[in-house]
Amino acid sequence: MSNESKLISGARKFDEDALANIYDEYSPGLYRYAYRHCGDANRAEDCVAETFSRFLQALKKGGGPSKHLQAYLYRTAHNWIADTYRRQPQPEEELKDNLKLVGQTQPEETVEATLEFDVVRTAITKLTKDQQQVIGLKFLEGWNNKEIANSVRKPVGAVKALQSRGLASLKRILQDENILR
Amino acid sequence: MNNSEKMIDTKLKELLDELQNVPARDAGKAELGKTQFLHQAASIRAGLASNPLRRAIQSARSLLSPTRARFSLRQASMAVIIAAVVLLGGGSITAYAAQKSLPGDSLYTIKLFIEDAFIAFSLSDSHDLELHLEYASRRFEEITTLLGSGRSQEIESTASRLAYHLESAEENLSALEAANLEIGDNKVQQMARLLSAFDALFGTLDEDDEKEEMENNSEEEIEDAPISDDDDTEEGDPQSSDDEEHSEEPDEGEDSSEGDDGESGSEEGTDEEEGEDHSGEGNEHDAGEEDGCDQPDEHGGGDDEEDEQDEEDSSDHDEEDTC
Repeated sequence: MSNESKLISGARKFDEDALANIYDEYSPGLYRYAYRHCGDANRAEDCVAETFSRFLQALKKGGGPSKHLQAYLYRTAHNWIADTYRRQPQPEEELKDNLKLVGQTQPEETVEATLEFDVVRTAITKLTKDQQQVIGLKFLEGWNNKEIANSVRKPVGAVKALQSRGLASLKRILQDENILR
Repeated sequence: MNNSEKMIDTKLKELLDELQNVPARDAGKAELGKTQFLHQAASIRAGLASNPLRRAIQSARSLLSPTRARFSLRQASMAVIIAAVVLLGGGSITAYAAQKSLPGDSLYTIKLFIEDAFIAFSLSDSHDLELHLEYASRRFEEITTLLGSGRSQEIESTASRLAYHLESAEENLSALEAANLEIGDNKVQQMARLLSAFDALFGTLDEDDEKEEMENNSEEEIEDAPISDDDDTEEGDPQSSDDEEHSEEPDEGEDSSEGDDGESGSEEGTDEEEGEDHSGEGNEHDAGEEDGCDQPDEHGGGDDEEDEQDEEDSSDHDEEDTC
């Protein structure tokens, strides 16, 4: 029995050790993932908390994953992120404002790095939900296509297609805003 | 790919790398999050421990999907055995007597075998639905009878079986709706009655105080129960859905896909993979031209079309723009 399936079967019995291990194992990655999408520490914490809470609720009803726990958790987190963004749409100007600032010469590199972070992050939020998830898992989390396919529940071929379309769109968005030349 | 495109790709990669720089997580908040999570788990655990019936339902549900495929095989082999018994004489009398048996009786196993056999031999979702609804009603009658006698062991196993029938019926309903097939109003009403009876029963067993209230409300629940349930499973992810439905989504989806999640699912995936691969790559250029328009909304539109080709079977969120 693999470590993951041990954790899942422990979690199904609401075994405290198994659940604590799951939290320790996956929450740091989920936090980073959420931060990359939200760009805000509090929201990222909210996302992690909500993801794990939904996981417990699913287990309570006898649902939840029977395998691919990590993929399940990231999918849940991504649904939360997408829901949150849909309810609170980002102001249209934000991207352009940030871009202007990045275009200017910044004396401090750290400031520029932070701005670039926001620029790319905001650009990613302009992609479709599936593209966001695939691009995020591939380029930010470094997952392979098979792992991503498990998380987005699509065939590997569809993942590749989403990835190339997502990258093409991202490139265009950044080019249109003169970030990529 | 020419040099300038390569430059752009390198720059894009660098920009994406920017996102790797996530500030360190606040250790206090992380610890607090963990504590809250474990606390929530502890209260669920306590709730389950205090109600063996609910635990039985929970474990029945968790076993449901992975065992379904094997179950059918077993049902089929049972059917053969039963057929042999019937043919070899005396079977029909036994089968008739079994129909009257209760959980725990020696003939009850035969009653369930026969039911399983009927389900195994049913060829359509609509017949499956009919059978599951009928058997669910039988389980209710049995539980009601057993409640009088206080045979808690049997109540637990019958409740699991009841949950199995209800879940299967829900799946059949989903499948029928997905295929746009006719579902009789009486079936929907029957399902609604069963679900509300299920809630009422568990409400009663859970908290005796609420007993009367649940019974009084059961009429209203008839209207509500199936609609919300069906919406969750049917529509995939309607735009109008709010948190609650979304919070259901991962597990619901997982439930329904678990059966074919593994081998058959991925085989299907790889079959499509070849074709999609090409279409994906081919589309890269198309997409470029098509999406030459700058509005993010239109990216969404263009992608939708392609997504429809690529992922017809996915019930997901292609139509959603986060913009």
